Amino acid sequence: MQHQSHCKAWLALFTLLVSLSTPLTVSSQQIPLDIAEETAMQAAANWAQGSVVQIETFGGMEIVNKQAVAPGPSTGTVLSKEGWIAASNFLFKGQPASITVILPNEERKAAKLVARDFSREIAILKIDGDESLRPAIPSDPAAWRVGQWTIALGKSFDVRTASRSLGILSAKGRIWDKAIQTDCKISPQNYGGPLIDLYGKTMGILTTINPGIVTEGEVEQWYDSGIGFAIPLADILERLPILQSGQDIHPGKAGFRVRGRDEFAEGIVLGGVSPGSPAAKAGLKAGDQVVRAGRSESTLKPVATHSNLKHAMGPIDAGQTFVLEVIRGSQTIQLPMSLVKELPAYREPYLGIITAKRPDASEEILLVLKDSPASLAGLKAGDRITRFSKESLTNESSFEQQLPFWDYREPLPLQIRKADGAEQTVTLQPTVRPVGDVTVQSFTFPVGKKEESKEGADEAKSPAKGTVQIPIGDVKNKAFAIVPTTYSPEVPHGLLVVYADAGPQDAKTWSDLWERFGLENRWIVAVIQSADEQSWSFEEVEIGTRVRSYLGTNYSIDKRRTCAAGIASGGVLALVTVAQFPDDFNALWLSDSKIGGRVRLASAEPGKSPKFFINGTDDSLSGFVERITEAGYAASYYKETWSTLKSPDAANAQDSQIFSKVQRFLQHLEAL
Amino acid sequence: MKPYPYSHLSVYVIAPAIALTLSFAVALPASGAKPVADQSAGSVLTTQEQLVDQVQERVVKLFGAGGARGLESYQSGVLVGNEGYIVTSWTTVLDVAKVRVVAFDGRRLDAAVVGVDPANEIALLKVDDAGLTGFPMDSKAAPSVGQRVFGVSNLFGIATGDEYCSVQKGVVMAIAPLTQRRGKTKSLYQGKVYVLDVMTNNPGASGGALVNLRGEWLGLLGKEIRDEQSGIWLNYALPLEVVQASMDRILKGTATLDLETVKSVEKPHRLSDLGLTLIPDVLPKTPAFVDQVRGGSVAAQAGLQTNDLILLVNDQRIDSRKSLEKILSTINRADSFQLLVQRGQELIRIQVRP
Repeated sequence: MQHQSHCKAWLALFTLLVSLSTPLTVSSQQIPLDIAEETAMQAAANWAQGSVVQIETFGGMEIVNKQAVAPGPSTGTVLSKEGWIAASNFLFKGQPASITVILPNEERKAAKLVARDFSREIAILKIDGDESLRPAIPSDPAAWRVGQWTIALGKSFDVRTASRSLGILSAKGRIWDKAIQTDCKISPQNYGGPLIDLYGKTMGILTTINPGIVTEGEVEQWYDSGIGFAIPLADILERLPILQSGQDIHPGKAGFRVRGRDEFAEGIVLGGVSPGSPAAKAGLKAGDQVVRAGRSESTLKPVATHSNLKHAMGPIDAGQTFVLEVIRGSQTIQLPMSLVKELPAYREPYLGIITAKRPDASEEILLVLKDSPASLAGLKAGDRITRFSKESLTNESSFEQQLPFWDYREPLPLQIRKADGAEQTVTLQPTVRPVGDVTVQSFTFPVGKKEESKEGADEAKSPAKGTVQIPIGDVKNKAFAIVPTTYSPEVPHGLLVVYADAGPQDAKTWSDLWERFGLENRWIVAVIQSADEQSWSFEEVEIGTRVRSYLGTNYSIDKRRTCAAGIASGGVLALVTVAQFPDDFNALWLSDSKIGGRVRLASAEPGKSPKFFINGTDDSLSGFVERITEAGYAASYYKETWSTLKSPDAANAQDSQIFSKVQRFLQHLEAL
Repeated sequence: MKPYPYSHLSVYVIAPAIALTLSFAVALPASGAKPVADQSAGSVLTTQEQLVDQVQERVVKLFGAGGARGLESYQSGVLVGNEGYIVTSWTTVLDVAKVRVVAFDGRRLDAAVVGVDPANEIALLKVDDAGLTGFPMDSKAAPSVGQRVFGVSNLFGIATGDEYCSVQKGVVMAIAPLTQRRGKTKSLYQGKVYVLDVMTNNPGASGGALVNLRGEWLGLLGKEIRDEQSGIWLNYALPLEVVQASMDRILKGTATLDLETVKSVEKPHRLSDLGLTLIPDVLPKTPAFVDQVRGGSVAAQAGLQTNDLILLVNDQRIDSRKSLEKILSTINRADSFQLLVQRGQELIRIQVRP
């Protein structure tokens, strides 16, 4: 059949070419061909537009996340004669009071929003069934070829004749295998409409779908940019029974972490699993090597990179099964898990010790904090941790890497080697990190012992000390760092990166304030000045990442002690920096800033739980602290202003309350 | 945007499309498999390149006033007939004694403004004795939705001499009224336009030509306008019949500003007079829910009930209490009107008679 129609296609083309009165040259676009093509497209669109309806919403909020949410008519696609209609989720963000659907015969019907698929951004509406309804006919995905013609239909202009935008299939398997991509003009006027092939069959439903690199609200602005997405109709129909029952669909979460930051590196080794997550319940463990993944044991496909794994998991919804095949030691095991909408709330466990990793991967305790879980269990400075729970410590699976994945409510057995060589098992009851004012007693940091946690500093070079200008490229900003004169690459240093309040910054003032703290506690303090004297703009977050990367490359930085800070107007930039680069910063200090009521952070996760120190008198702060505490973060909050920076004689004002408190907070970051 | 590049690939890709056309039982237009005759010039258009060459000769670059406060000092124009008439958009560019015209061959000519039609925002210019040939005065092609078209204009003022105006190819996305507008320039014209799926409406493009695959003139590219309903920028052209009507009015001297577009009613309907109380207006878009209906009032007689949601008044969409009040203010108190209300999941039409 396939072969026959293929022959027919070429025969037709041949006939057409022969019938042309002038010879065909490949450099010319033949107008008769264009007209023939146009006729085919018109036939396809005319046939398919009977399944396309106009959707109107009435009332509801107009502005969502600073974006005007389409108050105008939009488009839907008929799925069945019983009155099921697919639309794009974007229409319903404003929670309209009423929804109506206008059929191609101009009949208006009241519609109900029944359920939404938040993974694919598709909504399902119900109107009364009607014999005139013509369900969209699905196109066969097996026949799709990238480069084939596609037509995007919409009904926002006219309820009888669908609007048409012509383009090609740009790609398949986009957005972690959930969407197909087209270069048809996709905009609010055809979201919810079908993307059809030249046979008039529906390939997918057009919608806004978040590619994962932009924040909500920006997605709608992608129209006009040559990139549009549709959700394959077959995937929607497969989920229709669930949605018809009124149940929303959410992306599934498993709760495992892949080691390494390069999504395209070969080899997938798990860094850890979140306590209580589907991955933990299934028995996945840190160190497991993932080799195959799929919906069931019988449909597993090989996965080589983290990106492959995300493609395999992307289409799986909360409530569905996902199976991983892993290699553990000499065994190959298959572990099925049922994905969930939200992982159990996470809090980072806290023991109250400052440690250093030794060359044999054991962890030496340098200091036990007073009244901490470690001190209650009788741990002492000089003790060495050799096993975490039952796992022995290795360079790939160190104490520091394993601890965040422990459920803080569970007693934690540690194997300890005492100074005299005796081994014993000590069981601690972890707590969550205290948010009060904790004083860290003084201790001596052993030179050259913490080499594993520093980041590739070139020891041959001796980097600059004192007040150092940081090269940040051709921008109006300025950045400088205060590096202790005692700095040496053998001792990893903490790093504080400050977005100062907008306006010029005097290096001498900052140095007078922070030099002593840096010397005594092994910290480098970097300060960034805004490009504009009056305000910061969001793009300047980029400067913070450049400063972090420059200092990380040229100095030995202790990952445990990396804090972004924002003073007044710089606060929001520091917050965005930490939210976007959780691997680069482990703490956040907001001083005298104002945080908008809509700002929300994703829930804390193992290894992505920055500690917060917040001071200031603005009313917005208490609500913000409440929200981040709820999201699982440890936040110290003081309704006080940091005044030393503005004081005329900064050096003499070192006894300011908040200045001492934030210094103790930074010192305490070293403790686990 | 560049014109489409054509290569072996495009010929290969479209092959199945043609096959489909032939395998469909639909009859191909007679011209489908034959070279296309261009009625005006009597020449035969076979390739897209020939078509582009021919249309170029009929589009001119216009330079005039502007250049400050974000207003451009350039736009495009279309030659009509053989007497040197140029039709274009009526903009501030034309606020000069003589408009500089640059023809396809680079000749610089001065044009006088013959007249303007404010209602459609169209102007007619004339250059004398230049021997320029335009589209026939009585052209009457009209596209259908989905048909392929070319936009030819001097967008961004990029051509200044004998270089080609920019050619863009797309399809007619929709044929619809130019309902609301909001953008750099406002449009009084609210009638039918061809909405295009190609980014034609950029600075300098207004007044350019829209033509079909046969090289026939379809309309005049419009100004930059944003669709108030969906928030998207519109790419559109004014249909030929609108342009011709304006030219006709200008030549006859009957073009005037039709003030009926701004309706004002001395004694409009008011909610309180109708006996309607709506829920308080507290949101940016408070839905028009009926809170109370006064006994014996016009609203009660019409059958309105508490909790009815008013969706349409005389087929105009009501998306908030404010828009209801606005539309009622355009209806004379003595006139009856029609409502569409939602009661639960039911849609009910109601005639309100004062």
